[in-house]
Amino acid sequence: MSEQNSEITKDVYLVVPAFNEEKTVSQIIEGIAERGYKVILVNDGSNDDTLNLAIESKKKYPDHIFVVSHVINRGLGAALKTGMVVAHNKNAKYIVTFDADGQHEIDDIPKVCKPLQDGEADVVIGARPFEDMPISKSFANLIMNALTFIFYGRNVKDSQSGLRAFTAEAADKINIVSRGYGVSSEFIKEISDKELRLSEVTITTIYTPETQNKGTDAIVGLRILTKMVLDLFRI
Amino acid sequence: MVIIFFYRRLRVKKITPATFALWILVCLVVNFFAFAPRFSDPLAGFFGFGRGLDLLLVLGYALLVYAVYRLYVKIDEMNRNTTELVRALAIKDEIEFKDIEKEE
Repeated sequence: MSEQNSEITKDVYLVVPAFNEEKTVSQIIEGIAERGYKVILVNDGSNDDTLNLAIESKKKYPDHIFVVSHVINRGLGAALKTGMVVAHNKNAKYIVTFDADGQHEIDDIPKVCKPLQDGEADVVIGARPFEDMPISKSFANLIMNALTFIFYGRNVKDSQSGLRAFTAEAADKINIVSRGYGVSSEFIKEISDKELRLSEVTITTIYTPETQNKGTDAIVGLRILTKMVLDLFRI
Repeated sequence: MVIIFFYRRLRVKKITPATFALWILVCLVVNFFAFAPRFSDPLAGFFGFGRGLDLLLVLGYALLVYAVYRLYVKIDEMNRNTTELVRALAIKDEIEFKDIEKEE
């Protein structure tokens, strides 16, 4: 794997939230750094070896890997926000969120960045083809798409995708409150509320036993639904 | 029991004399209506309830719903504050290359 064209990778910061991802974290962040991108690993209070492995990776790529760590677990949404704040502080021009469980293809990063770099969009969501997913996952994701449409009025191909890209200006406008998995739908709400230009590109999804254990299933879906209802009463 | 509880809190200055007086008043009113429920009937009638007890039950239920909502808001706020704190710490203590070298 070689460093990609520096014009493509320049000012692109990847935010990788990680909670107990010792099996995949090194491979993911080193793979991203190898291609010339900057990556911010947010350890979200992991109780396994995630943080130490991330530090080992930083030793190999000190100028490309940045590590921040939550002392206690605060959830996916909180970790993403922390990473986005750090990216902003480092003057990132484009911010890409990327899951640490190995379900995304690193080579899809240029695909989600291109509409931003071409000035065609403010936000890009990498849409996973549902036909590639196990049935239980695709059903849960279909339901979440429907709920996102009902609650936030925006029809998207994959509301729960973890691979998203933002321009720095768009990221600044987005205000995330949700701490858990509900953050994915909240991004859609914010994109809609702030009238940001959204583009969706098809990405590859790698399903392994580890990635299947995480993400949106029926229980997580119910939690997100509860959160959406409670948010209606938020004062 | 309730009076003793609040009196102790007053003595250690956890509550103000005004709060203590308010709770004493609440206790007296509740006890009065508990032992003489018929006195609450005119008040209940005013609000359209047949019995004073029904009015008390509805009021109690409304108070409980309000208390649960307040708790939800409070816990949500505390959660948000905790997250802000954890985030500020994480950003302040970003792991730098010099830190790694120092450890070794």
